[in-house]
Amino acid sequence: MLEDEALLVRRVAWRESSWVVHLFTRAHGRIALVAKGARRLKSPLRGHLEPLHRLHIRWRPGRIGMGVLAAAERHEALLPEARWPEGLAITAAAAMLFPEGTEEGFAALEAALFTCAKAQAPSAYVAGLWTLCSKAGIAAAADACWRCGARHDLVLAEHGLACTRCGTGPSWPEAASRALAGQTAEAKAVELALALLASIFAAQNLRLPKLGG
Amino acid sequence: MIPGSPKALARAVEAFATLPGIGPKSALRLALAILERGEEGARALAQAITGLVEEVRFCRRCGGFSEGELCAICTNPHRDAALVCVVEQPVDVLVMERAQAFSGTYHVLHGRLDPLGGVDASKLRLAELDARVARGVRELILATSATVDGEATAHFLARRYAPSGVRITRLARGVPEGGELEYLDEFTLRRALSERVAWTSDETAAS
Ligand SMILES: [Zn+2]
Ligand SMILES: [Zn+2]
Repeated sequence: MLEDEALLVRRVAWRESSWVVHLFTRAHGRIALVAKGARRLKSPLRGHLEPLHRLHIRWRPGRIGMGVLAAAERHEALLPEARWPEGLAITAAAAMLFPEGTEEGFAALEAALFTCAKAQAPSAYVAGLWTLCSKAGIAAAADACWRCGARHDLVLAEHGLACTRCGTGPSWPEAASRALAGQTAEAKAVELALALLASIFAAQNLRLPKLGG
Repeated sequence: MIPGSPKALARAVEAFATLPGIGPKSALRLALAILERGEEGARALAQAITGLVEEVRFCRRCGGFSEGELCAICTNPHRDAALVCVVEQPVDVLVMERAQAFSGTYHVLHGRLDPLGGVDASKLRLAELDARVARGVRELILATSATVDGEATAHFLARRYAPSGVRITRLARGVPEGGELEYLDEFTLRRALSERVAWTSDETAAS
């Protein structure tokens, strides 16, 4: 029997009354477990297997197949309820960036949710995503300017990313990096930051989870 | 399936077994019961099943179950169209109606935000709700699930419609009717405590 702290990243209905849960654990990397009967009304697991909360889990690892979740206890939420839409989208992004076999998912998601919780309202999502990208080592993979389209022409300037072809003009890199740092309420800056993040994800053949409709 | 059993029986068992809560044993029991009832009983059952998919539609306005373009609630002049209760699934409307305590109308999202499962806001019935709010809604009651997904959906909706000036409320959560504290889970109890309500004073004339 193994035991660890965990964050839920995916939950897929399995058979009649169970879940297959994907979790980032602090010391055991990303794991997938069967939560038998967890969708039943009377299950002791019910209400505990939620994202955005610190979980304590115990499980029996599978000898060949998936392990089986024996117990789960839900502790405090990592960010306030008003940030849960952002938190869920960031968790979905983390599930893509840290697939099974990776070790850093827990620390990365924990840090990203923490950033999201502290950031100014409109930039909470992009700030959390940026932390995630930094932890995944792809924050520097933005290889195209979202203003002029130049590829491989981006350099890290004093105030964030700058384009060597057009970057001398307006102050957009600074505005966008303020959004990525979670320090702006400016809608335009958030939009720029989101465009940058979308290009980073696209470079990894991933789609950025959408926040709005 | 038992070898040598008729093809039609095997087919029926297979079909029943795809339904929720029905295993192969129950499926066989159901098939045998229908065989026993004879042709007339089977035909009535078949009709009920095809009628279900042919006649039950979704209301164009609220997205709830309906037999016509609009449902019986949306077309009822005694229901308050400016008071809208937002729920996740059509069945939630039936559940709310069972309480017989609501005189407003509904809006069914046909889902809830679930980014982990790949459901973003574009998959919810929001265009119709946007239009209803624009036409004039006094109050939106957010009756999404008390799960992280449901809560996130409520926050998302509140953010979307707050600028329109509509009053936004959330279904209360706490100790259920007939619920003894001893049997409550810690989440419900914590919520009941943090959202406790002021005591509306008893009649002081009890002297
Ligand atoms: Zn450029
Ligand atoms: Zn209707």
